[in-house]
Amino acid sequence: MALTRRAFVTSATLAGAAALGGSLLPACSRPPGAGAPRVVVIGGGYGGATCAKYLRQLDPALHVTLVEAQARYYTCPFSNPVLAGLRDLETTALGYDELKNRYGVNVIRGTASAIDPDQHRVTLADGAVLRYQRLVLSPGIRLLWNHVFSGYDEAASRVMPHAWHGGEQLRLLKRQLGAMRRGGVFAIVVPGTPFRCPPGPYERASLVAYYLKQANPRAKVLLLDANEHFSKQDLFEEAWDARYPGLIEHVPISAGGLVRAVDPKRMTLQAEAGEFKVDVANVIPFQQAGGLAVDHGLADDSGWCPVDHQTFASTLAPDIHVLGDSCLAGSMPKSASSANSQAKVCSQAIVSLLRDREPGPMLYHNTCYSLAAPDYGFSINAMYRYEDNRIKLVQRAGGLSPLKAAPEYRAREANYARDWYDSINRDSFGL
Amino acid sequence: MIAVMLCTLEHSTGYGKPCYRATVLLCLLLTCIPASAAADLIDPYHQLLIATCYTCHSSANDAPEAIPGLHGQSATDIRDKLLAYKNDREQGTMMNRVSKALTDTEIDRISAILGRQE
Ligand SMILES: Cc1cc2nc3c(=O)[nH]c(=O)nc-3n(C[C@H](O)[C@H](O)[C@H](O)COP(=O)(O)OP(=O)(O)OC[C@H]3O[C@@H](n4cnc5c(N)ncnc54)[C@H](O)[C@@H]3O)c2cc1C
Repeated sequence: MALTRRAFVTSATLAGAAALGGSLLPACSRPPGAGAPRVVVIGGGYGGATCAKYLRQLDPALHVTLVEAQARYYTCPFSNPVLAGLRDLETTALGYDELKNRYGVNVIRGTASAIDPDQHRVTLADGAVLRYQRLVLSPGIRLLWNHVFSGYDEAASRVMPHAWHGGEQLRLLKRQLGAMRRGGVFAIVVPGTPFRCPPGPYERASLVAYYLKQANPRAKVLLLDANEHFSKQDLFEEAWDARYPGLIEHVPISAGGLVRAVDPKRMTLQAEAGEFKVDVANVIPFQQAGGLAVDHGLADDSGWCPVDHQTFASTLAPDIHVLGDSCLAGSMPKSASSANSQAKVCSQAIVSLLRDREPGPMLYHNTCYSLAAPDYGFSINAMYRYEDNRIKLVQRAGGLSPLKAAPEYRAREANYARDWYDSINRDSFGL
Repeated sequence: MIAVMLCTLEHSTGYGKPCYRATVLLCLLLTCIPASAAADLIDPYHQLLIATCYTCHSSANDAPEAIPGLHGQSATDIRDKLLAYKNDREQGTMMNRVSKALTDTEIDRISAILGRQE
């Protein structure tokens, strides 16, 4: 449909009003019209939930369906505080009622099993077929079994939990931590990059140390790392020296930290530095894009999904967008914050594309807090713009919390971390 | 003017009935913002900038305690704060890093939009 100039301005204006209104007032939950374009979003994590919500806000006439395999979403953010006993697991569970009732998203509980890009159709495991004009995938990650860490498969993960998804795996690891013998070793095996949440293993080491310092003070945390350096490293190491001297040992790849095999029966980890006999083994496996994306040819040789940086449209299949952990988004890390930001950009782009308009300029961010203790937080921020056909870091902005900051400063950022969590959950899930 | 815009609206979206609540809000925005500014304030790019704030800042009145909610502050206050952070006249923890990515014009517009919200 060709738009007159005036109609163009007006529709942009309406979209703006609706977008703002959604954040400020209960969103329009009126069902879309019969001829409305259909967008199907698969995966109701931070990427998918945010995208579904913002699509409905930006254009209440759109028909938006969200397909999610689980009834409740256990967030990974704040799962480390759950592990350390600082928060109840159920406070990290989110549902989809608000997206359905306040935002008019058609939420379907089900598993997408097949995508037919030519016919613009998705088939669910129960046989239901959904048609779309635009498809959005935010399926998270696939854990790679027996990849580098020989012997680590799904069965092994029931003895040596990864806890890299919220929920059951986390419950298991928490039980093991609580039951660990006095003076035992809690090992965390870190996969090669890129992986979900670059600072996650080190935040976990910190909060496990926080727990052990009180409950099991002679115990140790051992990080066996497939990498040399890590996110927020100076900040973490400063915190470890200050709060947990001698409690956390980090073995980088240059010191033999790369694990080659695991043995769940003997509870051993075979690293290049030698064999480690441990009491709890938290093995975080290597990762790639979510299975649905990989199995439908949306990933390249790296195992992740290449996308157009302005629209998140797959460069490998038409009318399919890929967001969040699964996509290759320049230097944006795989975080809930990135997924939320990408979803806002993607929803804007989709609304434009459905109206045959060029998507406009885009701004993205990653804002990620870590806790080294309940009163000790720090953060990283990066701002990006769409420039030269890619997501480009804004050099003069962003950065890390300062080293050698006063305790009050760390305590303030710990409070901000908890507020960040409340806010992003509201923003993404429409709470 | 509002009536004219609402008419074209039905044609422009083309594929469905306009949302009643959005329509009402459009009227509200147009009545409380000078007409010349209205189109500027709500173009997609500035919506995206505003949406970016909501990752960390709540829009709700029962905002979390430490990170301030964005509604109920005046446009001038928001603008002054953002500029102070950007130019390091005020030391926050996060906002100095964030605001340096924004142009002064963007800060003006974000503040004008947010400053309207109760
Ligand atoms: C320990 C830990 C701590 C973390 N802390 C932080 C933090 O503090 N801050 C931060 O920003 N990030 C953090 N993260 C990272 C964050 O959890 C992820 O980056 C984020 O969840 C990515 O969102 P996503 O939408 O890409 O995927 P996900 O959140 O994994 O969502 C994917 C969803 O898709 C569903 N799904 C997959 N396939 C299908 C299918 N075929 N059919 C239907 N549904 C399907 C899944 O059930 C899932 O709900 C942390 C991660 C971990 C592991």
